[in-house]
Amino acid sequence: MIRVLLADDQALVRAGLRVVAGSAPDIQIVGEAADGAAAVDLARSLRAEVVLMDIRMPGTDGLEATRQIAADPELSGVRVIILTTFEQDEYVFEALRAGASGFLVKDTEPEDLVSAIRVVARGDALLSPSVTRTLISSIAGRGPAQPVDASVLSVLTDREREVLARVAAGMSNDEIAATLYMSPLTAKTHVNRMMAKLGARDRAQLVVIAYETGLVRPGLS
Amino acid sequence: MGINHRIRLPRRWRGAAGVALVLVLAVAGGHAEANPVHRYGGLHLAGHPPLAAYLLLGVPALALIWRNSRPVGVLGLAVAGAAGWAALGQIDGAALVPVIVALYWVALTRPWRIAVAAGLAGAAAIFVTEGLAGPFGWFGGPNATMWPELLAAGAVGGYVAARRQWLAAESDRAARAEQAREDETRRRIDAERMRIARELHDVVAHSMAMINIQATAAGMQLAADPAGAGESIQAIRAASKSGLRELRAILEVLRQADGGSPAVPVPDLRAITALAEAASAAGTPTTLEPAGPPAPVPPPVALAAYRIVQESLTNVVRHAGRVAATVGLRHEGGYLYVDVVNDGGAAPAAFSDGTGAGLAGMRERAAVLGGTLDAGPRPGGGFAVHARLPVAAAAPARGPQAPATGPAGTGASMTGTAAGPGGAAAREPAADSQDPGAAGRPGGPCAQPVEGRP
Repeated sequence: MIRVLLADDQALVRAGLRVVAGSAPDIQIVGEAADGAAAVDLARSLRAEVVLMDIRMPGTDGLEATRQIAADPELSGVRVIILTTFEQDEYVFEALRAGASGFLVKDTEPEDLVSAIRVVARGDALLSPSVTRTLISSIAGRGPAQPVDASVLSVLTDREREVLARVAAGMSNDEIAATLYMSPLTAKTHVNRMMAKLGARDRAQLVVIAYETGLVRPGLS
Repeated sequence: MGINHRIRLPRRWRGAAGVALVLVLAVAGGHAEANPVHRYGGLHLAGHPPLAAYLLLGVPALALIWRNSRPVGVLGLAVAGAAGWAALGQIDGAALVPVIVALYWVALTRPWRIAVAAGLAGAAAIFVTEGLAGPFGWFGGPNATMWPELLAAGAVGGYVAARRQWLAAESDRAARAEQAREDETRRRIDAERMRIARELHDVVAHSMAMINIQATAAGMQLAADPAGAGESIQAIRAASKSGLRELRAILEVLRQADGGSPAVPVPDLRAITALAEAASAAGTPTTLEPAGPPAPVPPPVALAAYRIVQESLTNVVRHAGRVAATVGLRHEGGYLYVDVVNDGGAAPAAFSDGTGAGLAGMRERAAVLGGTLDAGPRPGGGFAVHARLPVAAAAPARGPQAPATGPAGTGASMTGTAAGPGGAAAREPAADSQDPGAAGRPGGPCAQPVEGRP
């Protein structure tokens, strides 16, 4: 069972999501939070694995809550999916940078919502790769507000950089393994080691870093 | 210097003519002054100098071609020429012409300190040479007349330079002011556009997203849980209704922005009655205290009060569900007090710190009128919003909008005649509501008086 927490300030949205996401046999809605602070608390106390997080909430908003969850070592296993009204929401990029694993628009089809929760809980692929890449490249392509020094990548081996470029292209571990002639387990090891070295908690942060350091450029690949 | 450059080009030919004139004056004048036929009583004139000596006069005059790029060098050359001419025992009155013109250009194009220093140095060199070798001795002839001449040249050059600088600064300032005005207009338009976008996002997109989720849920529940599906459909109905209402209000504002004439009246305090009815119909029994409408207040205050009540009741409906709410309106001591209180226990605690967009918006509305707004959970459960809006200070700058006159209940002219002053004042109390470019649109969409149909 995947333990899912719902965080949205609209009770009716939570009720709807509970019905939609809770319909899957392998997903259990363990709690609901009406604001970011409650989401952080409940993620801890209910041992949630995935949080469906609205961005705009009163008090602690979804961005801040994502940041707090990402900063808490105790919550390192918690994955955050940002729920947004529109895909090109300017806060989504901030949320990805803050540590969210991906984002979904609120009108996602039920089966897509369920499979997104599964993908994020497994952690071996990027959630909605094409949309994520388009978003990140369009925003990172504008030139980062604070340029990220490419030297942060110097901690990576050449092989890891090859893997990183493919993660940024939206490939899953299996796909990376196939293109680089390595075993899926090796690909996974590379990805995990990179996340540890770069302080990323999820593939989404690896994609952000890849774009912001210029390893991958918008419009290529 | 850019200024001189700009002036020199179209006057090229005049400049050339001027140089030629100086050349003729210097050479011909020097030649005439050197004529031994002239008898300056008791002077010992040297007679005509050799032909090559005329270069001392001609070269500096021609060098004036470079008066803009190297005025100090040209002045130095002219001084050298005049001093050389004097050293030959000649009268250097005409030889001073290039010096005077060159000094004018130094004063025109260089800082005044340089002009003064160069002028003094040049004058001293000529003075000494002429005093030693010239026919007039130390204090006669050009040695006496050159001082006012040089002073005038320097002063005129300095004056013209100062004037040009002032004109340039003036036109620069005007251009900057123009730019600032344009920026301000653009900023206002952007702010207005952003506000509409935010309003659309907050209200309409929120409603639509919720409707979508609830509809999905209803579809999934239909077979297994018809009661749950029914609840979802009720929620859809309420959300779509309020979304439509808000959308209509926003569209009205946009239409106004085109046509200029207000398509809807600014909501007044009486419209709050309709708000309470609508909330009651949506499942939040809402009472109004006192039951009758209070004394009329200026449109900006009425609009703010309306918006605060609307936002508060929307929050109650959204977050607290089916609980009773009370709306209080008191007009007392120059203030309009607006209280919206609900006794439901389900209001989220985090509402209290007021960073929610709705609360922030309400605070903003109160603040622009010079009022205050407090919101937070109540000790016994539920949530309360208290606003205090100054009535007098918020009166619009123009127009005969009713001040607080008349007994409660008449509501004679509570409805603003124009959205302009109300809107401008709602955003910036001090804003000049007559500013045509400011497009004084209402600070919030002027919602239609809410339909009170059950």
